[in-house]
Amino acid sequence: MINLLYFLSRYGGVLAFVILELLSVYLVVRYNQTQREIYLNSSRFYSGVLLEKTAKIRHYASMAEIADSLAEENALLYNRLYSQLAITPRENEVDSLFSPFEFIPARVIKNSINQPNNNLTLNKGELDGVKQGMGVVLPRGVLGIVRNTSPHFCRVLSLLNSQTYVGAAIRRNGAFGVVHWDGVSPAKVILEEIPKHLDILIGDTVVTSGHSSVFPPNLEIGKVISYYVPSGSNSYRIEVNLFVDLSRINRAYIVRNRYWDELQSLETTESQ
Amino acid sequence: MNQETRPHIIRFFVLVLLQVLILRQIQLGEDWLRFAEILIYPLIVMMLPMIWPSSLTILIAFIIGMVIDSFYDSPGVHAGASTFSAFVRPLILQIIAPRAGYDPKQHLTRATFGMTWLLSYTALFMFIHILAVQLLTVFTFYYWGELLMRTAFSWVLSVVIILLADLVFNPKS
Repeated sequence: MINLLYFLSRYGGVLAFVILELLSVYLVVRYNQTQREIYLNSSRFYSGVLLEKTAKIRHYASMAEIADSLAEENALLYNRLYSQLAITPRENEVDSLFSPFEFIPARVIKNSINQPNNNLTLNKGELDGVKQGMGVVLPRGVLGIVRNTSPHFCRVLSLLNSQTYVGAAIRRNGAFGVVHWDGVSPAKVILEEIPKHLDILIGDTVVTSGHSSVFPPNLEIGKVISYYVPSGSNSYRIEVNLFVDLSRINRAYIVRNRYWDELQSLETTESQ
Repeated sequence: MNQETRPHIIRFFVLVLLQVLILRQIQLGEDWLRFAEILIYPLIVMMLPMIWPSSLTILIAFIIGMVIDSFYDSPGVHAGASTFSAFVRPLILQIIAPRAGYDPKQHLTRATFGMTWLLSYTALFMFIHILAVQLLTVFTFYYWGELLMRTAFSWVLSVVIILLADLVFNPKS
């Protein structure tokens, strides 16, 4: 016993260091291998509540800006509504305003853009009908995909995350590819997999392709600012400038597909 | 909570809140500079009394790191770096020991040892800490040249901020 105490007083520091350092490295590695929120998931209660409180203060401070952006959004929606109404639908035509997508408004309570892999926390969760895999959009852009949920919050894999891939298309000619982030600038993403025989113009608008149940089609993402064909490749590498500054967002919409469960069960039965 | 531990507990809350609510939001620049960060929380570990056993200091450093990690979404990175810097702290203190040596009961402050001592202590400690943070991050993602640039950049800014904080909050020399 005396020996043990002597040992601890002599080497306790080294022992504590070795154990805790191994634990830290283990956490780093495990987190990065499985890419899952394993331990400190900030959608958990304790930091969630604190972050929501500070987010409230920041939201209050940027009230004028939010009002402006909401007014802008209203104007956009009015425009769409009236352009629809101007063309009177025929009797038997399906209501063109009907869409399988519903939007759940949410507030961003935590955002990051300066990490290699960015995530966000929103203040809507399972109780509001949010499920893993749903898309998150902005009035003019794509924000990310829900990665996991708690009753009141959800964590979102940001578009600025090396794991996020979003189906996208060029609006002018419908050429479709995949948008992802190369980790360089938070204002730019890369559009790939567009075959090189199609033509691309600087300034082309990139929209979501709608080839999935996650994002509605034709949602604006950004503008083409440069493109080239990497040597040995058959497709373009296109730099796309985002329409929204992702560091300054306050509100987002979670996209719920009315047929989500049906599509999920259909796809799982097929894969079995 | 006695007289001895109270300032450490207060410092813990103030600096952790400052770190996660304010400094976390600051974006320093474009491209590789985006990953540079100003860190102030290691000051808590730096100022722990010398008289406390090193295993306790290391455990406290680890816990502080975990708290920071929970806000930075980087499990293990700040915890590992804190643990490491707390482990080498006695060595750093040895390197910059004043000629008369230390009395274990002395407080590790500018009032006791002077500005030059504080500057070298902060510089050494923060360099070790930030290098460890960047290394544990690199584990996953980036490259050496950028790593050293980022380390240097974070290091200079963090040291300046810590010294300024010390001058503002402990004005009497």
